[in-house]
Amino acid sequence: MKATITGIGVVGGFGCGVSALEKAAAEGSGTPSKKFKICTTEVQADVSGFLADTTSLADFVTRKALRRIDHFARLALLGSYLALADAGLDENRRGRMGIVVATGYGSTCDTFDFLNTTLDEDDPCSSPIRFANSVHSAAAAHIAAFLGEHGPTLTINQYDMSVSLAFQTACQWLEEDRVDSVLVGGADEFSRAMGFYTQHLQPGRKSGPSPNDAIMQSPVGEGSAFFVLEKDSEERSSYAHVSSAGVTAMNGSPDAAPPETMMIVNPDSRRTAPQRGNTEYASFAHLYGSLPVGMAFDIALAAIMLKTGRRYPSGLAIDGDRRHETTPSRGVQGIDHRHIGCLKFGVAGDIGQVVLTSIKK
Amino acid sequence: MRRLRPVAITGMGCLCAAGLDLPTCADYLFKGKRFPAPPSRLAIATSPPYPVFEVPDPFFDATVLNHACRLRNSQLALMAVSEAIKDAGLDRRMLGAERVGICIGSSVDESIGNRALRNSVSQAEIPVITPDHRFVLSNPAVHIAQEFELSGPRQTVVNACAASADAIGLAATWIRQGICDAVIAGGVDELYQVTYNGFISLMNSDRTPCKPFDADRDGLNLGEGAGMMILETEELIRRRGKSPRAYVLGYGAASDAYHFTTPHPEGKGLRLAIVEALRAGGLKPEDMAFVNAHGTGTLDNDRIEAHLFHQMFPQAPFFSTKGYIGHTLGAAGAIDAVLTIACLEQGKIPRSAGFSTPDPELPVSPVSDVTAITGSIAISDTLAFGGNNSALVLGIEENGA
Repeated sequence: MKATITGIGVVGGFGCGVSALEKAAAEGSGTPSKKFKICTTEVQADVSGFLADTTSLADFVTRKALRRIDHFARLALLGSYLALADAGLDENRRGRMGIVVATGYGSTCDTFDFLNTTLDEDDPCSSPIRFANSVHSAAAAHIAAFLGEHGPTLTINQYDMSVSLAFQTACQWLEEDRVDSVLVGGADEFSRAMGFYTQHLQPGRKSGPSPNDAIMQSPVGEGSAFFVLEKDSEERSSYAHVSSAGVTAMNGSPDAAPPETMMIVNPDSRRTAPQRGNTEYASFAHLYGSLPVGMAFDIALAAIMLKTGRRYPSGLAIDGDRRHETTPSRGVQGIDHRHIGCLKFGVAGDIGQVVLTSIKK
Repeated sequence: MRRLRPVAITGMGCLCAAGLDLPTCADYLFKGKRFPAPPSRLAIATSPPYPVFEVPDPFFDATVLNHACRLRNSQLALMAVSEAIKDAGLDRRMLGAERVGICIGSSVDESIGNRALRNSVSQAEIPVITPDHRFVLSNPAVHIAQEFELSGPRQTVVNACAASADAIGLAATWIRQGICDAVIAGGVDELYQVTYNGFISLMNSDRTPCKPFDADRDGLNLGEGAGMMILETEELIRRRGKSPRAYVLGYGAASDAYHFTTPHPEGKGLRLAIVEALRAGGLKPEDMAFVNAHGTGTLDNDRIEAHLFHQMFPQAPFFSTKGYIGHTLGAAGAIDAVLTIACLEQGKIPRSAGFSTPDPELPVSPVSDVTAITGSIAISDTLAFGGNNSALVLGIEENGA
């Protein structure tokens, strides 16, 4: 594996940019930024969500250029621009750049709007823009077009495994010299349908969660986290090396991580992390919410912690077969781990894992 | 881009409007006939309806499977995978003993699950399942893994019409980098109301049988189907005493970075993808025995391909399968890949169905008769929404021409 994270761009309910994520992580608090009223045949409810604001996309492109770009693609675009700016990678330096976008839901708002017109109204002349934006690869295509990048562009939709597979592909492209750099990340948006889903998980419902349902540990979230990956670099400004990335066997165990690896676990899962010696587990979903590409935010936090040497207070940690709250009040501490692994237990039984290693100083 | 090792293909499967297995599909192309018809399973608002190429029913044989499967998309995939596994001389026990990954391209994958959710929400009903459960129920890669009890990575590529060509290219990387001993790679898409209406809304559908590269072409006809192949490591092939049937010699992908639904006017991304695929295989344009064009029948797509073929492959005959089977979207790259190999094996290519009148604005035209070819390597290209372009160089000999 020959890849180094040289830039990070994040947008979510916590705000926009690495500093906003660091601030939220240091405070250990995550407050859902918005509530939606959901009226169902069973109940009327306010659904909380970690919703993201893409207003600062105007720092990078004109409003006119964005008029046909939906919220999902804007999230991905903003994450991309922020990551490139963070890496200081202008078009003269990035060489041939690949783009890999992971998404669990795709563009749900446009998809549902288009479905409504084609299924309810059976309208063959429904909006071609909505149809185009409903295609899952829309975000990656818009990123390539806005950046003027002619490298390979890929969109992966393997639900909660999408992020680890995207990192795996990005590293493989670098390994094969297919590209000089990769912009890789995940994006998912909130939609009214997601609000309805949250009601499914409410306790006390007659047809509540089944054993097949993963449990959303946090309010629903949306946002994007993007990364610039370049071939191995020891530059001090880089965040971390990607030492491994991929998906391991269905119903198997995670690949062995180096000893003394701290593990960040995304908690929306039916499974829990295996007890491994003195492995320290942490979780940060309380900062960004529940979404299929949540692992991308974990990777961002892991990279930031390895670069800064600061360990942020964990939310719900998963340790062996137990889930428990750690003590968020303990505040920011120093970190002595050289490796941080990000784990995601997939709903279909597989395990996504991305392990980062600190840059030698 | 440096030269990369060829990756062996040991088995292939295909079903589409041309037939329910690869030999039948290949024979069908050479008969030169086609049978587009109004959609039989979709609620149609347009009159007259736009013709499509559906997979003939019944195509699904539940008796060959261990698990029930009700989704048409996964049924299509499972049938093609079953054929490919059998063609490769593999069985369930062998598959279970190796690291076998799955890399599938599809364009309607998530949309199918979304339709049920959309219905719940529009009726203000709380959905009966969560998104993750819905994903497990609707993802073809998950169904394939469950059916054959595979333990390797599973990946669904959703690069629109280039999805399955990309899936094959990525699967070849999995083999080269030792992630898997074997990979089931390909693509699947069922005919679906959203895409049917979507292409009409874009005014990209032809009300008559499509005419790729013809002067009177007026858009595409949608199709459905699946194309699958088994890629294996040299070590596994040696252990099994099996001979490869063909090879992935090169794969390239590039973006137009131009417009979401219109290809770059000079085919910039497609040219880059083709150049990359040739470099990866250490090959030259003149090594290509023929080109299997994307050839959808839309004005822009065909114009760009014809100009590029004239510049890059002036010696190579070309054709499009879309006149026989329609545009199968996410499955198109994989179906074209297995049909390309079938043509190499037979030493000939079919006439390009729907083409009769040369377009004076195009510098070259596709073949209008069954044409004998010389050589063991060919290239198959795909263009997709969003300006994704992919090219696969495929051969029936490891070292090429």
